[in-house]
Amino acid sequence: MNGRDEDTLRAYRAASEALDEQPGASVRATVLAAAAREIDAKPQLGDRVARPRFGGSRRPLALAASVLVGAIALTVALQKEETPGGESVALAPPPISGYEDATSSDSIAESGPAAAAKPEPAVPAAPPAPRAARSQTPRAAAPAEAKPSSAPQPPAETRLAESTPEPAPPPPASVAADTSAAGSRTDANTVAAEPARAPAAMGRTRIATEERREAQSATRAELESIDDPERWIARIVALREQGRHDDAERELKRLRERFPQAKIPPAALQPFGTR
Amino acid sequence: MTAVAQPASAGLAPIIRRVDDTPADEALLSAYARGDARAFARLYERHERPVYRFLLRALNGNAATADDLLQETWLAVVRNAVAWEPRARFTTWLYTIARSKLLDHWRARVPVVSLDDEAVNDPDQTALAADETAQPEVRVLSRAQARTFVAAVELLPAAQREAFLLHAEGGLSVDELAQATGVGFETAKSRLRYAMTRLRSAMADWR
Repeated sequence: MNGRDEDTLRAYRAASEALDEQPGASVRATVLAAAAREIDAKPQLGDRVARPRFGGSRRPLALAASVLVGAIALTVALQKEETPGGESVALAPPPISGYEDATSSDSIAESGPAAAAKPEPAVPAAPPAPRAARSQTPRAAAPAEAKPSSAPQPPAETRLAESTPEPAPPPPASVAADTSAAGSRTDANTVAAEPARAPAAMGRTRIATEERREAQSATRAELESIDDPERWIARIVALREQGRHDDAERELKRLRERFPQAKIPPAALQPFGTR
Repeated sequence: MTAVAQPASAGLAPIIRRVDDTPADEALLSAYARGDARAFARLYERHERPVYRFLLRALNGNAATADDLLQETWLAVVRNAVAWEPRARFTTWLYTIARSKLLDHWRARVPVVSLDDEAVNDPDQTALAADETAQPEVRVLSRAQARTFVAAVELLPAAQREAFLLHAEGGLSVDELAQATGVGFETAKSRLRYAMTRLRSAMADWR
């Protein structure tokens, strides 16, 4: 580009300005109207350019928030369905110790703060056993797993009598806690009442069991005592003690027939006044 | 539009530069893409007449067709404003669109016309559009002189005329000319040089 080219361009611009050529007014109106319509039709494109950093992630964020809120609402609804009356863990039966009635509100109030203070997540007051077992600590859950609840078990009294010939000691707190956490309120009360009824119930149970055992093994004892006069005599003494003197007399007669030289102790003889 | 002619210090570098602090074309187009309709109005106001003259000269003064093609050009800008990326100057993009509208118009009417035909680069050959225009009448009136000069532009071979108009109206450099017209740098440079030479001759005759 030299000076002559500059003159040429300058002359051309002067000529264009002198002619004052311009397009029709309708062209301007049409173009500007179309430009305005384009903005109205695509506002999101303007937003995308204006906020390029956040515009792309705003929609996914809103979607994620909606999903999260929905999931929370569903979880709350499910918990309410599983929880009769919508009770929280603070109102659940606390761990029971001793022979006190666990259903009283006093016992709940006494042990409630400790239970309420536990930083565990909210658990339905009466959840199904498996769910409650999962919510326990491993140490507390171990006894519950040792006693599968699904297996058929004899009544609690019989079970205790068979397993513990001695008077049952107070159940450990962990067992009570397991029961209260694993079962419903009714289950917890049942287990908590067992220790309270244990002494008397176990006495009656032990006698009944021994009688049943003796009845079942009577024939076997008789057969075993045939060759052992001392055991036969002991058997007769036992019949005397039980007041079964007729049986004792019958056995004593058989003993004397079998062992005429056997020395009969006074305890095996029929006391005076019983005939 | 505030623009001044700068001294030609670098060959065929653009002679029109913006010297004020008004927003650049690219900034205005980006503002429009963000929803600023006034930015588009300013952009349109800035380039309306140069683009119109480019079309009008290329069409040998056919004002009605120039209006139609001007409208089509700017509607294309509107449709593609959001997708536009500033890889080149806005004016390069704008005049490329206007040129494509011209080509579409000519293809519809005169299928054999090709601006890229090397034959039209020969200054000895008669331009296709020049035959339709009568020889400009030399007058002493400034307005008449203006018409004569414009007629001389319109008498240029199509490729040279295009190169001259893109340079004079759009301020495109030789590089941008080559990019807009799809030819090599040397071809664009020679086209522009031939156009300047012919116009100077016309000015000498006219004076």
